[in-house]
Amino acid sequence: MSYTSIKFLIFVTVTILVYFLFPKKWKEYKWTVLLLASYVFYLFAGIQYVGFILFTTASTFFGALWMDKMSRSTKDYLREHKAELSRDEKKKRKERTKRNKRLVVALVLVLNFGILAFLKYAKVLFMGGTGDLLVVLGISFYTFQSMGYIIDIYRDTVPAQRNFFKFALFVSFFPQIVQGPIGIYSSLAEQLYKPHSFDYDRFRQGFLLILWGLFKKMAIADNANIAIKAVTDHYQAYGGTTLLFTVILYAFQLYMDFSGGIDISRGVAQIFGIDMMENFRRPYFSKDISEYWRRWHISLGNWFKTYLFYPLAMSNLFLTVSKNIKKSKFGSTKAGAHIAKVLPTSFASFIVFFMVGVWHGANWKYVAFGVYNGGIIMLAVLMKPVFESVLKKLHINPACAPYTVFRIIRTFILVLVGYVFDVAPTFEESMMTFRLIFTDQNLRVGYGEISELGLSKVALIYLALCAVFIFIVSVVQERHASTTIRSALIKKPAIVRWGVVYIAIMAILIFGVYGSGFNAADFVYAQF
Amino acid sequence: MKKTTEKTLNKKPNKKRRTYRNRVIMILSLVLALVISVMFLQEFVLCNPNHNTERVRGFYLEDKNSIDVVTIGSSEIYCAFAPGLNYKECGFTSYPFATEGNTVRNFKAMYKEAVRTQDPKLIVIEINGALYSDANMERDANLRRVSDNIPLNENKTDLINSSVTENKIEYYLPFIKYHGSWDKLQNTFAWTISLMQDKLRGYTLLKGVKTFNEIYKTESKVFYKNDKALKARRALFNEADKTLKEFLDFLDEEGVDKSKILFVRFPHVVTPANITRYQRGNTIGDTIRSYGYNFVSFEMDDEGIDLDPYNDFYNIEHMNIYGQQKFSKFFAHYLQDNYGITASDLTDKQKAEWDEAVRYYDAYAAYNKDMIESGAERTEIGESYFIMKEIEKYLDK
Repeated sequence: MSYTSIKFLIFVTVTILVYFLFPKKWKEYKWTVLLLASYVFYLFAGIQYVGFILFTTASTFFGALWMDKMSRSTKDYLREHKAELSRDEKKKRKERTKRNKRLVVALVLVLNFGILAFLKYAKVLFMGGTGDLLVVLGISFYTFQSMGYIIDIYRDTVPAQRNFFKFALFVSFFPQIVQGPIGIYSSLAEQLYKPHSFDYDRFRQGFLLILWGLFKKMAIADNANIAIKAVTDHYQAYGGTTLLFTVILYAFQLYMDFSGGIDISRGVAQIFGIDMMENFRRPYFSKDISEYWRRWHISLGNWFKTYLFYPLAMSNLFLTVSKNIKKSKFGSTKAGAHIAKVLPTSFASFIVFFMVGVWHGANWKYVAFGVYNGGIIMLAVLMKPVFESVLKKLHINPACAPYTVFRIIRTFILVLVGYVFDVAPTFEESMMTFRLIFTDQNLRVGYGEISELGLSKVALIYLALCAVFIFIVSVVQERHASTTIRSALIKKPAIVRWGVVYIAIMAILIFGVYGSGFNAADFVYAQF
Repeated sequence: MKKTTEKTLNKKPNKKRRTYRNRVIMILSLVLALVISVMFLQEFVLCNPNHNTERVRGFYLEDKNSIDVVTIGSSEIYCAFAPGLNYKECGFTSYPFATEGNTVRNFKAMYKEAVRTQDPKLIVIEINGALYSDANMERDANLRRVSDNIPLNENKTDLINSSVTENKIEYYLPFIKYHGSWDKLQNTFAWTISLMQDKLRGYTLLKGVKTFNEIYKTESKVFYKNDKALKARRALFNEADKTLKEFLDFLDEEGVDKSKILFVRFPHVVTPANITRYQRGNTIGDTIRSYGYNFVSFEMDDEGIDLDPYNDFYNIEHMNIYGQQKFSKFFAHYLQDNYGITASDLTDKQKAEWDEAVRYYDAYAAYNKDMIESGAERTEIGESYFIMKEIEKYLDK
């Protein structure tokens, strides 16, 4: 069930009605409505996928309980035998518990990431095909979310959930299961279980966010996708100008598509009284690639930062390497001291982005995408003193506006380079794209090719105007980050508020891509 | 003090009630505004408006039981049969209930609609719709030109149900399909205005007629009536054959008066390029006659219409203004002589409308001829807004 379908609209409306009309005397069970709705939503994708999510739910839930039991029994034992046990015995006991917990968490992680990896890579590695073995709805997102929980339990940062069904809701909450944001148990779970009453202001805010998301997804991204698909379907048929145009259009399309989808998810959740984290914060205004990844798919970045980056950067191996460099002759130089200081974090960043690339799919282009991003971040961290000294020599104030604009444009170009790996069907074709972009620029040919991509001149102008509109909105959001445009709108007179809603709905209805689609050529009578 | 507190307490629920009432009013207003906007766009703007839309909808604008002859079929009809000229010549009213690429599959619904809205003295059915290949029979556009413009009723539902299995909702709410045509509005703007004008006026001015200002030139051999090849029969495509027979069975089941239906084949330029269509036309004639209906082919000018294949057509299948005037006059008299179609008994208002149609047809014909003789760029000459502005310059000249 697509988030942009009528079916989803009806499904959400019914769920909202059932949730808020749920009898008050059973209000502590209100969350069961969300659980039921989430599983109904999941069943729409196909009954064959339910086994996967149930396995992740059960293995994580019981794994967590098992670890929790270990922690409790150790705590109880230590409390009961506080006086009898020596310090060493206490330490040993704690270490044994930690070791056992580590075994359990490793088992759960291997099982669940193993399923994810098997489905993603088995076809390529063992069957000689391409693509995923089986596309299970939301498996990446609910696996990451659940594994975050089990690691939190291992680290004793959250108490284990003792109600299987409540945990099942945390794993399967329908607004976020398709594309995130990846929720953190400590901030999401209690919101899910709390019985929320209907709040008109929340409803308005959520509804406006859904409209905004639908506009971005249906009226912008899906229109742009017509041209992108035309290129990727016959990738080798196009010259450098068209490929460059496609990569730029892709940057716009991907942002509108992904952030639009997340806005719909967040809007639906907000109506239920649940605040999901912001997943995008104007990423194309980033001044460097690290910042870009802190603004793009924020929940995934946070997940990797919390559960992979920090453990790596703080690992004994990295810290030992860093210490050894510091102690060495090289470490006594200015450059050596800097490298010793930042090496753990820069290597950890590289590994994280390599993993992000690998996670995208079994294709060398994704590996290249990960290596490219990780490499840039690593270099940026390692070379920071060099860049700073160059700026100083050139008498450039890093805080001045022109330099900030330069950094934003430079970062956007670096992001575009990364997108080439994403757009091109294979790694070889991404290399071909780079070659053609630099050696095959011809505006006349490009214009001819672009006008044949399924978008009329009017549609291209429309997309350009949308880009300007999104830019203006983003500038406003960037300047007034403490509040939202929605909050400002709600304070406006009724005629303005309702007028905006009317315009937004009409824009989605007219410019949105849905239905079987009109093709003027179908209506041209061949002989007439 | 007590009074003030009571007042404040009473005020609170009132304020709350007022807020709820205002919200309900605003929500209902929004829904109403959205429905009206979508209906307006669907009716006039995002509906792929063109001459087919205007002609089919124009048929429904005619007063009930005011049309004497309804012609059902495809593009041959509105290029060859001019209601304004027929009225001027013979005094009876007629209307081309026809669309581009109209297949025999649509005929049943169109026939039922014709007899539901009018009480015609004769229904003329041009058989081109039974000549199509299976692929052409399945073309969505050939169905939509008809189904999109028939008002919602049982006949429309039957037509949709018998023709499509998927996305049926789009046939009842064409906005879903056509909303994406916003980037083509520049091409359809003139028809949008014309549709709105028709609706406000309550009738069309040219009664669905249209043609191109062009003379067909061929270097190919043109067949004449005594050529041997014209006697041959060729099997129809499967789907067309099946659907034609289903339509004839339907007419039998309805128990229609066979003298009130005439199947025809309108004139074409017959060359080696379309001789097979001619031969299939012969087969269709045999089938229709086997059911006991009248079938007349004017394809070879057997009746002495005096059509010139090198002057009176704009392409192999369609007549230009010269052919249209010759054939329309001829056919109007043919119907008068052979089917006793006489001048209509019209109200004053209807008479005024048809007199206006004659004036506009004459202006249309004069403009058309001027366009051909001046060698103007190939233009579709029908009732679209900007063309009508040009035609109006020829009124009463």
